[in-house]
Amino acid sequence: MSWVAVARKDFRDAIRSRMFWALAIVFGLLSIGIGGAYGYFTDELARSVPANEAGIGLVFFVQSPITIFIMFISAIICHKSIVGEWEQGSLKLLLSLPHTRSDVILGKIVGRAGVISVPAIGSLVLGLGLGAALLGGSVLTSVDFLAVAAGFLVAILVYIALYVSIFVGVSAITRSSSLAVAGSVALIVLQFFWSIILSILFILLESTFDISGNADWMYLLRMLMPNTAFNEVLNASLSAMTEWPLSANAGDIDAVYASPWVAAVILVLWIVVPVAIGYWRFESADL
Amino acid sequence: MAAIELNGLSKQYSGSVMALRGVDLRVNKGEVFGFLGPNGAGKSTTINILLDFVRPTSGTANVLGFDAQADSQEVRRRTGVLPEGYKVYDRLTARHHIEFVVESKDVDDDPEAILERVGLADATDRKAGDFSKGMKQRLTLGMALVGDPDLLILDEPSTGLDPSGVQDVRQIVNEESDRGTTVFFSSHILSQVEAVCDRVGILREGELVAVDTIEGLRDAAGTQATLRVTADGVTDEAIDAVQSLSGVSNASFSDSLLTASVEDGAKMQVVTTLEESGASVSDFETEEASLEELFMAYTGGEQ
Repeated sequence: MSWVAVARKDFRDAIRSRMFWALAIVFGLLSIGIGGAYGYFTDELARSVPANEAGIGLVFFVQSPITIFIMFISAIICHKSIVGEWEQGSLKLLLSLPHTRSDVILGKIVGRAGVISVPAIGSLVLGLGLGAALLGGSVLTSVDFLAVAAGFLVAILVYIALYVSIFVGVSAITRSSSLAVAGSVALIVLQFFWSIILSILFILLESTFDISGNADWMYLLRMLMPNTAFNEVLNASLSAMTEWPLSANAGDIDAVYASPWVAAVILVLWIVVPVAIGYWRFESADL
Repeated sequence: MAAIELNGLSKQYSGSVMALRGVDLRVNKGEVFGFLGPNGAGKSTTINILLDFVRPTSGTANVLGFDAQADSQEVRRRTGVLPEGYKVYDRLTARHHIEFVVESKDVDDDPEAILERVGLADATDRKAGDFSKGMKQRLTLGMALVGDPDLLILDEPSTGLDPSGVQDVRQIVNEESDRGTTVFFSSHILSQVEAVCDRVGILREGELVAVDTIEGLRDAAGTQATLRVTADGVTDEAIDAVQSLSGVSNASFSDSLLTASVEDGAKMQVVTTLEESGASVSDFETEEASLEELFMAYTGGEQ
């Protein structure tokens, strides 16, 4: 259980980073602003929208800057978590204590995930709170809104675990901070360009410029990225919880593999595989 | 029982030279052992193997009765370490650092008492990032003392310390030694281990070239002296005659000055031999070898 000591130390260390708080405050204000704007304008323009629909819309609005924040802040505070301590020498202090190398990796993941949860959950609660207050009391008491908000809370924790695990994994795999930066940036950039890459592939393989079309095989490729896999699972879960049309991508495709379960497996692989490779590399390394 | 036992320990880093070549060493329990050698001799590699930071290419390392690789966690539970080339956590206070070790080792030491011992009582709640090099060294030494370890491994503990800091380290080593702690103390400067160590081992280019008590080394140093004789008319035959005397080595002559390494009893014989060969001796002096010179001789003169 010595990873608990590592996690606590890491939490104490990371939560004292000024840059972390600067970013957290920017994104916190952004979610409050978005929540407030949604509440204000929905109230002005569409009083006819039913309370629960307005509430669910609010949750979606507020969560998007939070997930973007989580992805970036995870990359920023995790990519050096192992390799940085390695290069600087604080790993020698850490490992001169009775921790195994797996304690170190697990402690880092838990500690940094804990640090990110503080502003992420804070932003969600504040953004939703302000938005709901502006929308009016009926939203706050509409059961769907509360259920979806709770669902998003869980989803955000999963999302934090996903990215912290990926970037701590990258940090344990690489042997220099600059490689860790390159790897982390590459993953984020790849995700932004993934749909464009797939569209080009579609044009080449299907010999058509009608990219609104959708080949079955694209589903699997689309799901390969952590963000799309996460959103697919999230949408599938939420549509099971609510009457809202949150149909997942898989809905339009008949193929056997076009199931949110496939996306769920890919999601789990993203949480497990990078950190497993990182552990394997780190365990056998000479410090 | 041995606190540290190394058998045929070798380490070759990938694509690099041999850092250690078959080191055999036994450090007894309760001993203060000085591990000496120039930078790059393999001291840190040896210590890194004791802590399982680095895996040996061949040979075994046993620490406090545990295999240093298979049972590393048990080793580190009982060992306090001041590593070389470490870095403290800039954003955490001195107290946080000690608390982290207390929690990691699952002991109940009082952080303030530890910090008092290493002279940081005034800096308990200051961030370690603002510390001087010497204060960081004191903090790390404090971390090593948590949990009353059976073995203290100090890798170049005097780095960055002012003379009073060096004195404090010496005092702490003595206190720990008095409670029966084994201390393994590495340094590239002989005078730092001279005052505290029972025995020293000298490492050179990955090989252990000497293991002895300080007194044993002093005796070895004391038997050799350099003799300088100022003389005219010294022939090659005379130099050969001097060289062939027992207890004399490295005789050479230039610019009216003959130098030779001599053992205690042989000095006058050299002078007599020269005079008998017809040379006129005008002056001579001897210079005793110091421990430092002996150390230099063992380590190839590098510092």
